[in-house]
Amino acid sequence: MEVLILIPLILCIVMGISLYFVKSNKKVLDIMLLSTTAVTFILAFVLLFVNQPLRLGLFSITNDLTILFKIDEIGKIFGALFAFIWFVVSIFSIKYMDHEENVNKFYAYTVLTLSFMIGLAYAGNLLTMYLVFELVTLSSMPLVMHSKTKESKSAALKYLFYSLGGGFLGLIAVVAGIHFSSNFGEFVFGGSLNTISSSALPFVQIALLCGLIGFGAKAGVFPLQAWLPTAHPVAPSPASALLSGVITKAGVIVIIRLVLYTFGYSFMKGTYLQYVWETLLLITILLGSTLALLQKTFKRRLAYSSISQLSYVLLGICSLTEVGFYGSILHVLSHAMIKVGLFLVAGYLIHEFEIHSVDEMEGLGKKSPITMWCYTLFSIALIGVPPTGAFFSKWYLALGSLESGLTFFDYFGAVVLLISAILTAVYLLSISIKAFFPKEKKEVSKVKEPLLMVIPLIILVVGVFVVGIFSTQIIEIFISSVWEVL
Amino acid sequence: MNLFLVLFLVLFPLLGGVLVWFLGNKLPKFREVFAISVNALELIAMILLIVFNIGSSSLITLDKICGIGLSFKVGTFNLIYGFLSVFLWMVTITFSKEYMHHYQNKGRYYFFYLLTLSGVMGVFLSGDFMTTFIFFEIMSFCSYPLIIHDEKEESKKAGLTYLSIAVISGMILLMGLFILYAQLGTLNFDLIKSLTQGQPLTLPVFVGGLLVFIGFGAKAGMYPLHIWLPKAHAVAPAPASALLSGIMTKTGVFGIIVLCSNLFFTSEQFATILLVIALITMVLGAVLALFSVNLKRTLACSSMSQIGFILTGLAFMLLLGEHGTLGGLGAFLHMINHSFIKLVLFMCAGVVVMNLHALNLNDIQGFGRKKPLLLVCFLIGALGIMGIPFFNGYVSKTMIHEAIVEYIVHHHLEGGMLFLFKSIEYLFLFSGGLTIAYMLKLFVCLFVEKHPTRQEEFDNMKNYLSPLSKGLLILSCIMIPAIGILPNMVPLALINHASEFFGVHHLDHSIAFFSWTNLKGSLISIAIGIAVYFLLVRLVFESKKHEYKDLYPRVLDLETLVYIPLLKGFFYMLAYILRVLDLFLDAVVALLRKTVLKSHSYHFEKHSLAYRFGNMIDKKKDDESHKYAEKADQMYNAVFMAQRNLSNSFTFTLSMLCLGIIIIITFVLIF
Repeated sequence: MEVLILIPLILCIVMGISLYFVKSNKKVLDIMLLSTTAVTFILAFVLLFVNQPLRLGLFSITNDLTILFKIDEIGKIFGALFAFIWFVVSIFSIKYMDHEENVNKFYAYTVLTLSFMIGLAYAGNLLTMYLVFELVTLSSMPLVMHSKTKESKSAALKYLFYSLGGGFLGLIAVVAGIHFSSNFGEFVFGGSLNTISSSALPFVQIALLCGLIGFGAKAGVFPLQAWLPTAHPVAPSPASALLSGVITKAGVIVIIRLVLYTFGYSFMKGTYLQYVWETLLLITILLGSTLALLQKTFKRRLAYSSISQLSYVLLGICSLTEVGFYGSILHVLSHAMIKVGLFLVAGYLIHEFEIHSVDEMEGLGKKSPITMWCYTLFSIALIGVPPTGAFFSKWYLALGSLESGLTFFDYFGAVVLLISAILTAVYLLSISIKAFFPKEKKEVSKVKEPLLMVIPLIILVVGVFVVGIFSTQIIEIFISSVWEVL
Repeated sequence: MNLFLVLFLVLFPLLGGVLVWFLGNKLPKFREVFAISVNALELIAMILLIVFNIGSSSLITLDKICGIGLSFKVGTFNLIYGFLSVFLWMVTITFSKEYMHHYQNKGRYYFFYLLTLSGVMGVFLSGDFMTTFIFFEIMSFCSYPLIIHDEKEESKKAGLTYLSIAVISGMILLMGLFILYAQLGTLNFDLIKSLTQGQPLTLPVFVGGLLVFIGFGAKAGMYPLHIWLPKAHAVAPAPASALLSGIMTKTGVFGIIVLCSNLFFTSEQFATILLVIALITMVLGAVLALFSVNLKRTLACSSMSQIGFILTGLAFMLLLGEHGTLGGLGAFLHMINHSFIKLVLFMCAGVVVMNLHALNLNDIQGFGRKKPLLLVCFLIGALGIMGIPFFNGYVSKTMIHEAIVEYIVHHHLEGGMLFLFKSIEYLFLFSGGLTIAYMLKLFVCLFVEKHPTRQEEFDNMKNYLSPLSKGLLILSCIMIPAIGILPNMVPLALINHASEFFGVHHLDHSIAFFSWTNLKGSLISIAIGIAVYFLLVRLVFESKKHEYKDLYPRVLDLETLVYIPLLKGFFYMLAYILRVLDLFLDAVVALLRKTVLKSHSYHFEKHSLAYRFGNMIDKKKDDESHKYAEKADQMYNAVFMAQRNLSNSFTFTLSMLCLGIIIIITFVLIF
């Protein structure tokens, strides 16, 4: 039974490596990619409903440090989400990549990244998590520089610098976590920290702060946020969708593991750490949405939007309350679907019309109505209009902020969330308005929208609404048992 | 059964909208028929709901859905306004058949028309603020495509104002709900009441309630967030304006009523705030309407002013506490009356637009001459809103007026307070007078004066309206005199059931509407109105040649004067600061690369070691083209570049590690 954890990992690695060396026509590659992601998705989905805890130690590096995988509530949900998004994006990339070169390498790195992402979700202790985290960075970097232009290469290097650098900064927290915990960094909700002497306390706190900032780089948290708007626009759209929608969540899951599963929320609650981190997050939220409004390149705008949305997720964790945590998980789900959807829309526009800039999108609503309708629904969802998923996640996030018990920041956090929502409305809906109600009326005929590009969009739109309407059930079945432990 | 009916009422228009969209695209001829039949089914469901629930009140909850669950309330108020909404929708959607005949994009129009109905039904049947908010937002967003339907520049501008106010006020409302929920743990109307009764409100709860009030008020067209109302109502297609004015503003009022009767029922401060805002809205709306030279804009400003009347009634309900029956029920009756009146008036305006495609008073002058049906209908609507005895507006305005008088008498006001409230009473009558003045202006312009050039053409427009639409117009007129002539019979008995919803006592006596004291108030208003009309409109606004002048100073537009500069200033300041922060780290890296980590430019010389090595092979093979030498050189360069890039990236990552260690060491050393 425990071996079940490893199947998706090994499958993806094997398929990834073989994809790299297969030099046959594209149809075969497509089938390989689709079947791999589909099987992984099914396996991850099955694991979602396995109720007994699975724990699999692979081998020991030293006496204390083992490579350990285990499946708990958070891992299950993240694993299923990753596999689902990968499956949807791989449907899209079949059509998108039909004119590109080196398709086999692109697919190979996509599948490899999936493997490491699933590994990250199922990692059982700090060491394994850190290892897989770095592997994710390394395997996703080639996706950014796929086009091999000078611009994309430098963007990929920037991504590498920020992620690896952040990772190294975070290593301090990992080491501190392993050293001060009672079970060498195995994840237990509520933390496994030994009692820390008062002389060591400042060190541990600073180490945790380094971890928050360092791993925050992956999730685009200020001050290490600058790689997102550089790396996302140059990557092929399926890759930027994965990067922005899902791979950034690697930072989120690592921070959840650190804050809630290693150090424990009581360690941080009420200390200056919480205030410092919250300040950084609020700056990031405003920064992302404000600067998104000033961008003219569509994908850059979406990248800045990701910066702010990811900090929403972390804000819920930062509040260290039950509802805030629910909000975070819900927002992870809905933001992943929405942002992937938006990037796929961008990919569709690039693939079909060579449209990169926001100004060129005038009148598109008549040309390709289904895509622009999906775009509008995604935008409305991201603003947080009920009954979409993001509304309920924002609801819990704001409640979490209000219940966090911080002085000043409790109300201020909620206010910032709403200001950012207004800005989101401006930078997304203005495009919709432009697309559907152009300034000059021109007779444009409908373009045939390729089915392989439309289906993923529709799946994601439905997903966003399902998460919203059944948010209570999602929380009850998957997440609420986490807090019942305490 | 109730659960099914309520869900049907709320969700069926959504489904119906989608159906009408698809079927209408396949069979464009039958689009109207589909839309009307969807609406008819909705009407039947509403009537069934009324039949099953008459006189009782029940709460329907759906626990496990949409976050904290949805709940619907079926009481007298909800039923009355639910019915009114469906009825107005039915009339206007039928009228749309003729009105929209020449318009494009009809599929979109009917789709959003039905979607908006879904939102409105959800709001009026909601039993907690969460449900209200969800459907409120659906309604806000779905009515945007209705407003900008003709896609002209002006409409888009108005639409943008509407959307901005809708989004911002929606967020303010949401903030209020956050606070209320965090403080009280529930958003259910009745639970809020039981939790907050008998003790003064804490500051967070008060602020939260106030934010909710602002959010709903924006939709109701309350000062100072009224700016969208005159613009949006004027540009929308006439059937949609009738709904915007008749029903959608009332969803905002619904929210305010719920706040007043549950959370703020005993709060004097809130009553004062509400009263001040209500009076400003009332007077300002009337003044704006008087200045306007556009038919639909006048009607829209008039809506704003009437909302002010309604809010005044609510404010006096709060001031009088449980004895505020007259204020509350007067406000409720005025809501109903206003819905009917604005339906008639906007439909009349629709007739004008349909024939002339113009709204400016100078272009439509004299259109109504020799069209008796239009004249009678418009006159009935006008008399209703003016508050002339035997028409419905008189009844509700009299009730609100009596509430003001009751407050003065009941509290034995003296001195300054007496003067203050007396002047409020006269302000109320004065606004009534202004109402009369601007409606008189419209009436004279349309039906008395002659157009300088096109009068003959106007007189010959005999087929200005199809029989079906004529029937609709007459149908919607009937209620206006009916309520006005028999005020104590049906209407008061009916709305008396709703007094529970307002939290006030039942009305236990019939009101002498046609006694001298009540008639006196109306007469004062009429006198003021006629005076204003002849002294101001005739002498100042209208030139000798009966031309209407637009005298309202453009500078005084709140939107361009205050909101846009404020928002822009705030945004650019924020963007500037954040831009600096965003570039901070990049700038540091750039600076380092220019100074400490300066990358030297490498010159690859042809006589590198590899080149010479290759040359040796070349010489051995007697190859003059230096083939191997160049290949070796290229390989060397590639390896060199890779090594440089690697070392650069390791430098960066190692420097981050060092940074972490330095921070820790300094920290440990200091402590």
